[in-house]
Amino acid sequence: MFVVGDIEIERGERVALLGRSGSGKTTLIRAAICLRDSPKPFLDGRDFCADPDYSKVSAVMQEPSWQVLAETSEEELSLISRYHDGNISLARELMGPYFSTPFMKLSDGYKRRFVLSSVLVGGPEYLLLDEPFSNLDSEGVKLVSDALPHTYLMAEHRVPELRSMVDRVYVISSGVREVNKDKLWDEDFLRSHGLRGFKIWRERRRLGETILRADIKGISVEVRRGEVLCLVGSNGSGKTTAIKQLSKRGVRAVFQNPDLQFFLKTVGEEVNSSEALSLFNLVHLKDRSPYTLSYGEKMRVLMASAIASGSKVVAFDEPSTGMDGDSLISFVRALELLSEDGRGIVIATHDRDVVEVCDSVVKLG
Amino acid sequence: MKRETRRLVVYSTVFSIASFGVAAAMSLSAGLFAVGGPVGVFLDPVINLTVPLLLISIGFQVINSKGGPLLMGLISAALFAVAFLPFLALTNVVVGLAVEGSSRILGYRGMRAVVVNTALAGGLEGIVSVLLGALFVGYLINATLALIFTVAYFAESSVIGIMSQSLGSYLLKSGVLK
Amino acid sequence: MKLNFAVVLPALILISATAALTNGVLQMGFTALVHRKWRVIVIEAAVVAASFIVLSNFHRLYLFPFATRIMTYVNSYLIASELVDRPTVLDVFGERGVPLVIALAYYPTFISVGRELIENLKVRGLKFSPSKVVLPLLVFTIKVANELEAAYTVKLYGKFRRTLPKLGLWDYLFVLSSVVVSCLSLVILR
Repeated sequence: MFVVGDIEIERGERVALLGRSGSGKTTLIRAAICLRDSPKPFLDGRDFCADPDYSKVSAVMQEPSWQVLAETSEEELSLISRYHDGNISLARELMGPYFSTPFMKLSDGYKRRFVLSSVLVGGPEYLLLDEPFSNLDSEGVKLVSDALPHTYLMAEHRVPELRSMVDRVYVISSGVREVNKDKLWDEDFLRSHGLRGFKIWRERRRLGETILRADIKGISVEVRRGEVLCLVGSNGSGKTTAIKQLSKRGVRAVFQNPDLQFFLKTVGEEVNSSEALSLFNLVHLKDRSPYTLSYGEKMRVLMASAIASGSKVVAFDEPSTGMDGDSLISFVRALELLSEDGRGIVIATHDRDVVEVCDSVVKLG
Repeated sequence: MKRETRRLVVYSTVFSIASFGVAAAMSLSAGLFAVGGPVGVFLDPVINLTVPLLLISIGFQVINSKGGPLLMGLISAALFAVAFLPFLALTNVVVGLAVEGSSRILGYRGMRAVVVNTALAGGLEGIVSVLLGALFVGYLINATLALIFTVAYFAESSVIGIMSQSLGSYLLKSGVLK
Repeated sequence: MKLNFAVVLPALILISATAALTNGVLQMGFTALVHRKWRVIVIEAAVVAASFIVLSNFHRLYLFPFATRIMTYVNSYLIASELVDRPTVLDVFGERGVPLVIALAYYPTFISVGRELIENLKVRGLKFSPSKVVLPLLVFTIKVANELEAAYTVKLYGKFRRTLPKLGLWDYLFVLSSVVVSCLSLVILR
């Protein structure tokens, strides 16, 4: 048995650890692999960190791009094999035709498989995963879930994806406690704990005149005042390219990684408009560094900055990546504000929860 | 490997490649020939003495431990050696040694330490790379020109040092860096 | 075609050293044929031809070898960065080469982030300044270091085993050709 804090994992068990962003899921996983001092992990009753054996306990962190050690899976395994033996054929099987493909050229699903396979070659008995389905479409989720071993702890807030994949459930919310698996279908429970998996509703308004006409990948697209238009498609269908094209036409674009879109030291300087700060409930954060905010708060800052820019149309590229339930609610409320203000909004997404709140949908790919 | 050593190695690696990669990206954006290679770097140390130097300088502050500057210098040197830019490889060894020395005396954070460490890193990077690069193609720069270059590089790097201290301080105060 | 670093490094050193002692034409041609980046070759040929014409008109042909040497070094950079099998760096440096192999894996990431930042600045309508670009870069770099520390910990455990370089046919051909070209240049075109 592997124990970390109040969490216990028996061999052969699949355990979920749920919690809103910032609740401590990542901290707990880092502690479990001895990168933090507490809580202390115990393996079969012994202090694991006294002499850590990563062939028994291993982890895959949230962002695959920052966990690779070499350019291709083949190179990475060549590097790993200089340290310890491993089941290279498992990695070959998991990566299939992409074993020698550079990491940057892989789809999001295969990027996660890359990282997963490089850890699984060591044959760990217990595997800890931090948000393994982040930014994945349904195909990507399947690619990853098919590769999972028999014993794991999965930290997630995307509940619908893991309903069929876990045996027991813990929740972090001022402490860790085990809950009944039935809670995964309880919308009130999910909403109150900042998790995903509940229906979200957006107030619809009458739409105004057309404020943007564009041709995207041969499809004619029109955006009206107050409209939320979704561009949908699986990963690789051209959604990001479409948003980039729109940004060249005067559309204010908000791309996937918020941290690469902040250039000034405080929220106040980024937004540069007291009205917009007030509208998006950011006044109490105006002297904070935007980099220290939660994901949902960062998106609100970018949206406030977009509204302050005066752009008639604002476009978002996969805004719900990394969003927990609280952030999603906050995002939808902010969309209502933008729509009320008469802006047009374009959202490129594969997230079903976001598509639900759109006025119109255009399918790409 | 001890956790502290591993942290030192990883952070030094990441800051070194960040500086190296960004220098290449900026050279590419400036449209210089040979994919940001030796000609671009040789002809435009100014590009390297802004954002890449800031990254290196803040890297010293983030790592904040003995061996950090030297390891960063050695990793950068190895990167240039693998890219077959030997004059830049040697330059980075010199820079690593010099800043390791100065930081052992002055420390890694605080205005004086940061400005001196950065001025040394950037100044030496500039002048040594120009001298060695010229020698590499068989040309010996005259003493007056070398002196002018030296003063210019050290002056620019000192300014970058002041910027770096302000940014490092911001990272600590804002909580981005713990 | 991927080459072993243990072979590429001495071969390119030999090529560069002999280029410095001769007019560098053979070395330039050889290294160009190895990397086969035709766009680069065309540009280099144009630069070298222009140098030759200009320098001969001004009676400064003794400066011409500088142009061919620079092209040789550019080509060597391209060979080293595109054709080296990165894990073979460990054959030369041992465990000390591990940070280098990892660093090389992140080179495309930081190039891409550098470009993305400059694009995002343009989208925001902000003027370029070093401190503006460095801030998000720093945050990104710190986050990468944090996650990479975890990956390094869980993947590279155990004792490092150094192995002897395993050379393939292309490695032998490259070394042989480098030696032949270097010797020829010293004998014929000095």
